[in-house]
Amino acid sequence: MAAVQQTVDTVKTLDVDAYKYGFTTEIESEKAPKGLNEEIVRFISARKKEPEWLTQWRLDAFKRWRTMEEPRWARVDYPKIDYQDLYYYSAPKGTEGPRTLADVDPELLRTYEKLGIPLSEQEILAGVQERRVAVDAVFDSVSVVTTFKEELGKAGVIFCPISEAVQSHPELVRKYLGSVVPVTDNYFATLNSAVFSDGSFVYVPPGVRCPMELSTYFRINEQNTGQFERTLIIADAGSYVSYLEGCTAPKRDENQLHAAVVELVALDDAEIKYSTVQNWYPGDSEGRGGIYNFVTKRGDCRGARSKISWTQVETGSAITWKYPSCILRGESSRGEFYSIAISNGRQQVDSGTKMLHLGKNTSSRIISKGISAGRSQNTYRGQVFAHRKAENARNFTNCDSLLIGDQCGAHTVPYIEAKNSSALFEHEATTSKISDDQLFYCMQRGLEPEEATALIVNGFVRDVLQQLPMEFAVEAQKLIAISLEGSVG
Amino acid sequence: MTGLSSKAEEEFSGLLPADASASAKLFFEQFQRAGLPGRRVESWHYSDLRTRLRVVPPVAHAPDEAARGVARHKLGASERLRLVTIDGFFAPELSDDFSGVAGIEISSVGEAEFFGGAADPMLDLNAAFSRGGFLLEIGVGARVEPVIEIVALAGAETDRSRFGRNLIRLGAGARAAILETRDEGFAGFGDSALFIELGEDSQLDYACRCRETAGVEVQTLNVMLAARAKLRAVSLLAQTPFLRRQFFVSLGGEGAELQLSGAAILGRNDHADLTMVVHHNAPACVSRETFKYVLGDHANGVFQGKIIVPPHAQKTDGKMLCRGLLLSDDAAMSAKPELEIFADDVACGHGAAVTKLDAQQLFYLETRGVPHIEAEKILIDAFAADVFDTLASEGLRDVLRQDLSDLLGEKEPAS
Amino acid sequence: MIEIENLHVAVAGKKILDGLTLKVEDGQVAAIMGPNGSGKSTLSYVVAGRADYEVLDGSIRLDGVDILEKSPAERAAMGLFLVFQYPLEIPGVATMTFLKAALNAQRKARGEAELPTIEFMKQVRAAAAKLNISQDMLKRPVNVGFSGGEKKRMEILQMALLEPRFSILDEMDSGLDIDALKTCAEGVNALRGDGRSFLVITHYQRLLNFIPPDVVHVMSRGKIVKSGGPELALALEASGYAEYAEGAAA
Repeated sequence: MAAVQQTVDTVKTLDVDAYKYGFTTEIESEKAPKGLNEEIVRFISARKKEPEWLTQWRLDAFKRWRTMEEPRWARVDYPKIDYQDLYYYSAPKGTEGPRTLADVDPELLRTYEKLGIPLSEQEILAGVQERRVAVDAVFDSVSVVTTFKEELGKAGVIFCPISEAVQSHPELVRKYLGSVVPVTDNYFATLNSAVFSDGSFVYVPPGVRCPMELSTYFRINEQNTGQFERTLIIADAGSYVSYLEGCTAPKRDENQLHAAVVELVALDDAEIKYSTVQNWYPGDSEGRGGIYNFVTKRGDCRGARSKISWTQVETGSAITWKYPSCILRGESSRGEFYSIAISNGRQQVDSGTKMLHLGKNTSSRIISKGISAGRSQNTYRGQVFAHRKAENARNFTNCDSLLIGDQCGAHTVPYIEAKNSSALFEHEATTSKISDDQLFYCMQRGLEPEEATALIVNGFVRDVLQQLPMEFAVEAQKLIAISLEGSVG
Repeated sequence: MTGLSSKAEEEFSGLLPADASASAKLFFEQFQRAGLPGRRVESWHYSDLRTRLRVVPPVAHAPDEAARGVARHKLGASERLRLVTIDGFFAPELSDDFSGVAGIEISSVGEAEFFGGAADPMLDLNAAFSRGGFLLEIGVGARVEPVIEIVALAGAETDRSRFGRNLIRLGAGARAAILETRDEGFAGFGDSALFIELGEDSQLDYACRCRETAGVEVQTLNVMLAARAKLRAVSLLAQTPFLRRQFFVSLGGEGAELQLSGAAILGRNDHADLTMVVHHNAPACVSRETFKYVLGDHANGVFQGKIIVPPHAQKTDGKMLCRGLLLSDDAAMSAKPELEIFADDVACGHGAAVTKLDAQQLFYLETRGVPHIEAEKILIDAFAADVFDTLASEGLRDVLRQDLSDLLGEKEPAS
Repeated sequence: MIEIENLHVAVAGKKILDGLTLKVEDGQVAAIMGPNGSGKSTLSYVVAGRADYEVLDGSIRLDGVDILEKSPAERAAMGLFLVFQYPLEIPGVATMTFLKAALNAQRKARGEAELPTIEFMKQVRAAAAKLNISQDMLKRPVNVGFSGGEKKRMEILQMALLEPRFSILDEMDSGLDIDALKTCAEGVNALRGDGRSFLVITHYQRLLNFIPPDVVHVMSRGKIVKSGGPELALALEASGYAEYAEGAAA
């Protein structure tokens, strides 16, 4: 037991504050007044010079939101949020108008540099970075810069802030916005519909394989500011795109709200691979501060043979409430969900997925690995559903939980619903701890307890790590070590 | 909380006698606060009792001579020692004389006398209305060899509301095998409660066959196991218009073991919901939950299982398995196997699978000359029957095997 | 090399080692033989630093340094290696990853640079070839799905790679057929030399035919009751342990 005990002790002494991205950027911001009312909604819409239909869309959402109740079914516990005590719009000054790297405040560039996000195309082209990744950098409520737009443009790929897409491609935005996550979907999605600030927009035309990885990097900086980004990705027939989002926030003593909506649409034969490395500030070891990550992510496999794959590495946030889902509407479409959720300190995670099989011959796969340490609570919640008409629907689910220490909890709540006799659903779940024997064996070979733990944990999550694009897999692996380090040991 | 009270809730209120005892009234108030559970209540999501129970049939009275006559006729002769209830009331005059059997004590109870168990509105409703059940006690160290059978029958009128409430208690080190046969007709409403208390080192084999259940029926089992006690329980469900059978189990002493299994063979518009909450309240307890569903026609099968392991229940070993076999495109299966774990030194897991009959296996059997329908029966029997193997009592296993084979014999061709 | 003095150890309140004293010289191969339950495996675990073993009294010195307060990893970095009687399976962790992590951790602890990947691969391949370990086995997770013999060969591969100065072989022959035993023994013998010592723990003389010891100790009831040359092992093979069990009881 000593090895585990040692690990547990380290967890106790640890400030979760191994968090490396907790710095703040001193930059002047323009904010809307605190609180939420019709005026604020209009203010945001006006700030973005939105067309009338979108303003109305937001106002309808706001009206609806006021009649709704915050969901309470998840296994998370937090004090009541005062929605009138938040800022709903904050933008670094001088981010108006056309944005190129040259226009960006150097302080902001330094921020992203510190975070390890490559924004300089020259450097990337010069081969400093091994692979090219186009980045949309979102700082608080607005996108500050999007790289490689020109080159992507040549391939016909549209990659820009959604606020810009509203101006430049209104027909696409109007057609698809809210078509996967309706305005009325749930409390947080409806709130987002009313006040969403910025986010990324991607359109990949028919038959195009996007020439590089696309990535959005979210950063919450301002105090008392909610972040409500909205991402919309459309992969037209036969296209392919791989997209990655990363998130960090400064350390602050109060909780910050992040209520994003992500909508994916895959038409016939299209494929979208969506990866997330979520590392929002998790709060300190006593549970002070941290991000409330209440996110609605859904992909619609609208076309035949389309495919949507979600991969997530969740290490941050005080509270995580997210269920990236797939609506398998198109015949022979496929949905995948690969997840690593690590909780430590006082973090609470309630995350999973929904695979809704509506079309014939649809298939889905769920691999979820939950790791609880410290005093955290980690819940997998997932639904697999086959409609009466979903002939030959197939699902395989595997969710495993690992407990480190005796103060944490690991929970599994699957919902398996089959209404078609040709459906084939398989589900397995296990909960265990790292065995003392395994730890001792590694330590006898010279590994320190924390290294041994990280090694075993990495083995535990390997199936999922393999799904990440190469360079992010390496990053994620480090992140796992960091979030368990000082935390695990 | 279900907000507005439903018509059925108001009817219950009218049915509660004005002279009901204070405790009955208290239980009823508790029921009223929660209301009749429906789909908006997470644990009742798949069994919408609120919608199914629109009209509450009159509450059954204690059996009279006419009721006893009907029951006696249905009962026939048997070699087993039997305890009979009519409309939920213990009927000593129809039951066998247990006075000669060493170690067994049977007594009548009036209004609900034993409490505890889970916080559940249907259990509260039962406590409010229950008027007469039995208490079956197996004394300390007693080994009862013959199978004891509990037979639940209906009286002359089947369209009644019944609220049976019985207790089985095994003293330390006692052993027994109990068969429960529920045969109350397909009409009316049932809300029964069975309490099972197992003393230290005792062992109980318990099998329940639900042959004819009420139009709408809820059965609640409250089970408590002391240290090293063992319960092997199997339920065989068939022809259930709307049944929710729910188990609340507390493994309360170190080293207790639970084998909870069941098979549901459903067709027509049958709805069967097997729900269990297994609380590992002591270290080093073992639990196995294994349930099989065979679903034809428009049948709807529901499995909800939850294993709870609090921080002090180290060395818990819990495994849950649920498998559904869909024989028709109109049948449906919903499964929710949950784990809720707060202790780190545990080995817990669950598996769930929903499939159809294996075409290759069918084909293989057919190439050996077995007709298609027979081949189906063989495969279904093989699929379902292994849940009986958890029972130690040969006698109980044989009864269930025979029942299953009878059920499959009656079965219409699946396709 | 290693000096164990008056070692008293209890497990879960029960005394297992009862004043054991043992010295293994540089370059020496020492065998410990003894009946089941004499405390042989406990000794190997205590020297390697496994928790749950309560050292009541005595000392263990490796190259003159007391190691009782050191972690298993620190002891490993000092050159201590244990061949487990039952090597552990570690699902999901590729054998190569594991080997590299272990090797570099030890090098780091000794202030040496990490081994370049190419050099590392070369070394692993060379060692694997000698032990009949296929590339396929190296690709699999650590010990997962390996037969008893494969697991033992993997232990010897690790030994070859980590080049420990002092190795304890805990019942290395258990679960091995004669061919596998030969292969493993050859692996061990190849490492014999001036700088390295071995403590071979076994119940049977058989293993010592393949790894001839310089000295043989007999252990009973938690202490060394007799020491001698290789002939002692042969005598034991003939007469059995009965004499020692009773002798200790007296």
